[in-house]
Amino acid sequence: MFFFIQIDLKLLQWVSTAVLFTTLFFTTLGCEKVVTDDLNIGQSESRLVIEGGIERNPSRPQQVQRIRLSQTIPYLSKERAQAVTTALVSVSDGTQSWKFQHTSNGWYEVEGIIPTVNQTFKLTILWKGDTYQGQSQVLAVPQIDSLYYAYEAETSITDEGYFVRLDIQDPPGIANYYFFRVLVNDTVFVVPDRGNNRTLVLSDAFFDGKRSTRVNPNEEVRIKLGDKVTVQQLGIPRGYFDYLYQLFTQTGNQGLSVVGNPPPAPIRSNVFNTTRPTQYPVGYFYAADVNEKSIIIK
Amino acid sequence: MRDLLLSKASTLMVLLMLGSSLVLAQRNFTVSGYIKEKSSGESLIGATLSAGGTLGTSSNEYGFYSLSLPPGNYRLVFNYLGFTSFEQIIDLNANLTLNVDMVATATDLQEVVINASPKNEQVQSTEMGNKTIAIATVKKLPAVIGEPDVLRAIQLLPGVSNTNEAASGFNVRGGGADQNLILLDEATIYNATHLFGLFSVFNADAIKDVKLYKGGIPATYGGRLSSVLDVRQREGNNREFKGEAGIGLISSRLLVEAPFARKPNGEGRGSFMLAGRRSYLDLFTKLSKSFRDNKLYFYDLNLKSNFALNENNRLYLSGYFGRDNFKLPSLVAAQWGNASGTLRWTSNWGKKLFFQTSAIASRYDYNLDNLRSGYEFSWKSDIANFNLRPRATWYVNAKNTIKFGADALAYTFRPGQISPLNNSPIRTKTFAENRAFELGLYLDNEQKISSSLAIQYGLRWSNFFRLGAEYIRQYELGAPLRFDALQNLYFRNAQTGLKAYKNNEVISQNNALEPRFSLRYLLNERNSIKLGYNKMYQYIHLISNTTSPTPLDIWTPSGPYISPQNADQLALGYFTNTANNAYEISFEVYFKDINNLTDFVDGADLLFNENIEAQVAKGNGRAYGAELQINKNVGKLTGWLSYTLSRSQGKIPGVNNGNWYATNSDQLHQLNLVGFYKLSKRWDLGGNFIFGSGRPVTYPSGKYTSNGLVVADFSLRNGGRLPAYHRLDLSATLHPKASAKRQGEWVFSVINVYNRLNAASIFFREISEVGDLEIATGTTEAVKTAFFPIIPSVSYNFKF
Repeated sequence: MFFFIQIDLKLLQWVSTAVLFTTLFFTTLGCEKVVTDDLNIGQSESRLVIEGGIERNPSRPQQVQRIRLSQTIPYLSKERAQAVTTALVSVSDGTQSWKFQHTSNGWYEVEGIIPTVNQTFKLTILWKGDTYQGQSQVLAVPQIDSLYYAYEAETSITDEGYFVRLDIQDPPGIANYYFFRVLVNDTVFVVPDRGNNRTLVLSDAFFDGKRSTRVNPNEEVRIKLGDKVTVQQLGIPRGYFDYLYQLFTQTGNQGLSVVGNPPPAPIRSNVFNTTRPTQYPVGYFYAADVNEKSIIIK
Repeated sequence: MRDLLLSKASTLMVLLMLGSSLVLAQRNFTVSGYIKEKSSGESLIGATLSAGGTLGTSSNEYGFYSLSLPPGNYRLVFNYLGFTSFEQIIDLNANLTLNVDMVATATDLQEVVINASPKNEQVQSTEMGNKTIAIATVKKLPAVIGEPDVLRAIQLLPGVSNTNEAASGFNVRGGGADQNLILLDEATIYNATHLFGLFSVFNADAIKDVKLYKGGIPATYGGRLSSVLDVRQREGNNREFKGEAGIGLISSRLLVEAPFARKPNGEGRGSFMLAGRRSYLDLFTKLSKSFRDNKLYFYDLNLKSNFALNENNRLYLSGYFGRDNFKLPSLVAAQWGNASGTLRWTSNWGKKLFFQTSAIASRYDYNLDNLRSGYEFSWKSDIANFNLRPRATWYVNAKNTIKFGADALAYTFRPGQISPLNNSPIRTKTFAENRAFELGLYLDNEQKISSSLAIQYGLRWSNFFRLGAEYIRQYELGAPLRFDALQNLYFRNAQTGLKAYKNNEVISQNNALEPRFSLRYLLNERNSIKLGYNKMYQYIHLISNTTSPTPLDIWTPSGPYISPQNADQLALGYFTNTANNAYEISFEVYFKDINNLTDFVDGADLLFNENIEAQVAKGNGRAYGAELQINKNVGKLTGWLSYTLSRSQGKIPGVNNGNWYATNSDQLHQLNLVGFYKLSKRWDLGGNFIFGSGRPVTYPSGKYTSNGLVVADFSLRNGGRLPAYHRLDLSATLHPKASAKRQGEWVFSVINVYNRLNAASIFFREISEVGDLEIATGTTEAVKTAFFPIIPSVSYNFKF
């Protein structure tokens, strides 16, 4: 049996809810069953996974830039993803280039990059005879004007509890794309959820230049008294917004084929295999400008 | 070159038609009139008239018939299944008007008649690939939550299916749900379902006749690739006041009909029918504290009225208005629905010319309110058209019936308007309105060449104009997207500017010739072979990348960047009636080829997106199959068996590595068994069994983690298969005693009798709940969803 837990504006959510809502009333209609063990869906081929990017965060000027490389594994596998530890990773801004060092478990790190707004970074990965390349640009993000919290009552989509909210002034005349990261006690909090594609990422297409208040950067986050909550507001390029939008839609999709269920499709990376294009990688290499604020729940 | 071809083809056709009529132009007289049902005065559509041998005709949509014959004595036999034959001997030495009132066969024969096709009609008609379902049959079928449903009934026909049991819309011969032209009294219905696909918008009480064209689509119809669903409303009783009502679990219905402007004989010069239906789920939700402010209901109103100006001229007015209303407090609210109105004038000029013209307005709109705090807004979108349809039917002689006319549609698409609610920062914005004009001109002749050979041939010349005023975005390389075959990926081209078009200035223009042809060769009186070909063009596109349409899908016209879709269909069939028409058997094979099939790039976000052209990919499609239907039309046990063997495939750059893939409507085997049994005078039983092989499903080819979430990687579209589908539904109707004061009947239904949880989909997700805690676990699972468990229901219908 499923019941509506998290509903978002997007049709998918409310349609499924409505259908359930209608039918639950009369019957125990709409049923889910886990069939993991009945399926045999191997994997055609393994792909390189790139996760990470260059962040300009004035609050953390000495930040280490990190990229993780791994390989895809069969979807129903219970194994952990296999790290790629033998690649050569570097980024360049056209004049200078930096080599990443593998530290452990597929993480590659470099210190000393001081990104500036509008700087474009190009990533090059050499691994097993293939060259992978992609690039991204740092776009300025406005400040979080204020970050505050309140104890809020239960709604159709959230339980009662503490929620952080923020106010932002969107700069006029520029297409801005936002990505919100919420850290609770310095750990990023994220769960697969239907609302993520409208909450964690935002386009200013319909509120360009306006001041937004009481923006909830993550509706799923659970906060207790005494927690330290940090909200990072990332200014990201459109390509990364599109990528994240697809990613949050797909991971939040509860598979209801009633309606609102886009055909499953690969989410393509901005990094390409220039040696063998059909062996394309997945994941993303992004550049972002980050503004962050923290608050202690008292 | 193309124009030359066109003029040659049309000249040839006109010559052929005139030639055949002139050669045969001897001194003939015409017998003509209207065929009606005696008790209500409803006209009978498709009643046949035989004058002996192959001489004969059938009544049109208004019950009118006309037959020209050489002078002489004839025995005219009128037939309509379920009605007693009517015979009259005439001495034809002058034009004759003969109006016929037919009487329904007395029910105490304990026979149920399920199909409205008269004797040998399916063998002898030139029509193929189409099917009429009597509304009485629809009402006898087991119904989901007790609502008789036209759209579910047609899915029991061969070649008609659905992507899943709760999906809205239907698929015909492997086509998409957007490729069906759904007409209610000639008005286009853009979204034919309520409650997200659970029920159709057609109130079975108000409907008279449903005809589905899957192939062999005559030139009189155009605008969609796959099918035409022609739904006609009842005209209303013009003999006496009647009412009927139905009380079901989810909704109630009321219908009244009556004559007006009565003549001395009591018969009305006019009559009307008014029907309403409303679901009352929300009344129950009001009882519950936690659901009190939730809303979910639909209602619809049907109206039809007609008035005879005189013997030869009649006016019809029909209308439909339907609405769904949905609200989840502090989250979302939405309303949507169709509205349509048709004003029609029919006239027979002389005895041989039947003229009809309709002025139609139709609109679909929705409103969506986002009630989430921070960015509350209201969103509106609609599509509207005005349609003028003059048509003449010329009953040239006993061998030729020519139809010609025009179908002019003026469209206005308003893709969206957003405005703030509760002082949110959302700015008011209106997406550019799109306007278009579609004009189809057609000529069609049904010709009997010899006693065994008949052909129907026609040509439709369709034209589509995208009209200003509009600013059209201009792109580098002249297109919004470019496909990079090396990366197997679409890239956006930069926008270079806007081009302004003045009001009514032509932005883009398409035209096409759509030949339609069918041939019937009678092997003998009870066996025939038919061949059909039709070419169809579709100029408007449903912007939807889901497996079945949603209320929020909008339509967009062809234009500078979106090409019209077109399809060729070729079909061959064998038709036979056996055992004195007790059994009707049809077997058809078809092949369909679709060009410029509209699809969407991976990950397209189509809602709230003005720049739709940058999301559209196009490709090709093909579908082929074989369909068998065996009807048993008379006896205590009636029903049909239908079997379909088919394939439906698409090939679109960027999808499935550019290789052919099974479309969402692909299903190899489909078997429907429908039966009705007259148990006693008071009990009627009905049942259907459905079997379908597994529909396609896309399995992930791998997984990885990104931003803390497990993401699936996919390579092959629709590479896997769901388990096979099968379901048994039963119904029983208890009729009142003949002596009962109130003519009430009870209808009991059980859907999915053996409670099989058929997979509607299999999807893949990261487990995100451990106990009550929501957490990204990194562990993945495959989940099957199913919709209909066993659903019993009961409804009570009565007449007054």
